[in-house]
Amino acid sequence: MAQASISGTRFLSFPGRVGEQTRLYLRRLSDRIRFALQVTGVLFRLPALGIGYTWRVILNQVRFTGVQALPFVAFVSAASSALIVIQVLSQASRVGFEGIIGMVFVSALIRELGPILTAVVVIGRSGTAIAAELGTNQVMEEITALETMGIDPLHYVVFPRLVGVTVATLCLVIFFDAVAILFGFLAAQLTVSMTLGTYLQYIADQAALIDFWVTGLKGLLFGMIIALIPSYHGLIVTGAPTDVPKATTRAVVECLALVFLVSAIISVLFYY
Amino acid sequence: MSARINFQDVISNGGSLIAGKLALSCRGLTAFHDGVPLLRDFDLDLRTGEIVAIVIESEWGARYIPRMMNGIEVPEAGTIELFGTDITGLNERLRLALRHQVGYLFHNSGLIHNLTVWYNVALPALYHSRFSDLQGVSAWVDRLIARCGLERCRDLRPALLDEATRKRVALARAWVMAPPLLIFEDPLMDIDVGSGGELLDLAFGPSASGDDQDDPRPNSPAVLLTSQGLHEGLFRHVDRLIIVENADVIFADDPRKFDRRGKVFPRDVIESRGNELG
Repeated sequence: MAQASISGTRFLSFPGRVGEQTRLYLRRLSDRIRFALQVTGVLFRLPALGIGYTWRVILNQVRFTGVQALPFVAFVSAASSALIVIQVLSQASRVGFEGIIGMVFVSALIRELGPILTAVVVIGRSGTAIAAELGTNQVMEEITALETMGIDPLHYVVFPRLVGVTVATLCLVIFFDAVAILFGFLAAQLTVSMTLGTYLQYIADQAALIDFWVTGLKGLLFGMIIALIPSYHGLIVTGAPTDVPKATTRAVVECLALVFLVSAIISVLFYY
Repeated sequence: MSARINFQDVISNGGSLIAGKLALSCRGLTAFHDGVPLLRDFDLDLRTGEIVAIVIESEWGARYIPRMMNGIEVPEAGTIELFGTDITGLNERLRLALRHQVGYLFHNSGLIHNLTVWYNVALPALYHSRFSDLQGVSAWVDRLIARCGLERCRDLRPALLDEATRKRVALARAWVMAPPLLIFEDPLMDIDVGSGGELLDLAFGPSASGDDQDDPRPNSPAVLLTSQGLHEGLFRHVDRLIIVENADVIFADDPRKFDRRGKVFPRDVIESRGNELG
């Protein structure tokens, strides 16, 4: 149906094409919002549906998304924090302005790069896995089989992934910041022989409580995006197994775009 | 909204089903696939204790009809009543809530590939009982696994099994909630004639021990199955045979009254060739 409307736009004028594309994007957006509402609606049905049997899936998801990603997140965090600290201090130390490291660290790493880089890692590892797994389940008709047994796929398949990925992403963002602070200090020590007390003082002077709340909020929202968008794309796969990699690619692109968009919106709302 | 189900009630109700109760009823059912009619103005009443087979040439028809009866697909016209409730007008959540009373066997088994055979069989019972009676479910699943001869593969995943064994797992899963209605979606698809016969004997034949008290199969359920061909096993076990040709019913009666001469389904040709090669 969507394909027919896209090919039909060839015969429309420019404003007509813009209008048609806008209508299409709005429909896609409403589909995703409806899906997100349906999944979050499971929360309100939990007293009746129960959670006992989904614990195993939630724990598996936390292990895969969170625990197994720790080394790579630590590596990205250490590398990015060390690079930023070395670049900033090598310039700032020439004019005796080392104190700027606190501002750069808090505004660039803790507020922005920490949640975004963590989200990129989680999208690459877990977002792709969720889209591919659910897409394959759909092609193998396992999702339809669940429905024939009276099992709600949103409750049995999507909800545990939503909880698992959200919790894991939030924890990874906190872990990213902790590793960044540690390796930032090591880099500062190597670059300008800064002491731990001075380094922490510079950061504490710039950091406010709201920074940690905002970082946590971003972690939560990014986790929800990374669980819901790939699940949506996996579940709308129909027909051939060749649709699974296409769904995975679409899920990754949409997740990345949404993560940057949401990050920008939150930063504007809280800091400007 | 589906509520937690007491599994002991499920087992005892399944063992004491009363034959003759209306389980499934449809009126004026009309369905198309890609513009091709599959069924036209189709009526059916299915009661507990009755086994009805719909034989239809179309592969898609053999899948689509049972899915309509279970509310997975929606017909173009007509009504379907499951246990007296019209499911064509219900939303998805309410249809889901009705389905624990229906045991469903998929044409491709429909097993969950990351679960072992045991968990595949147990899944509906674990889900609907909210893990509240693990011991009861576990003992019941063990009995079903033994009844279907699956003891040796209970800890294997479906990918390691042949299609005939997967069908037996799917059959055990369809029985696990001791449902009053069983729907088998083209169960003879993708398995050879011998395995098909064994599957039908397992599903509808006399109990293995000769003692019905020991048999974990639901007592007198209503059974609807579809097939693309006239398997010998259907003539042995089915109470009513419905043959659909070009979307119209051309025969609906006791299978023993059906004259097979001159009526060959594409699936029968494949099977007879398979027998010659075998």
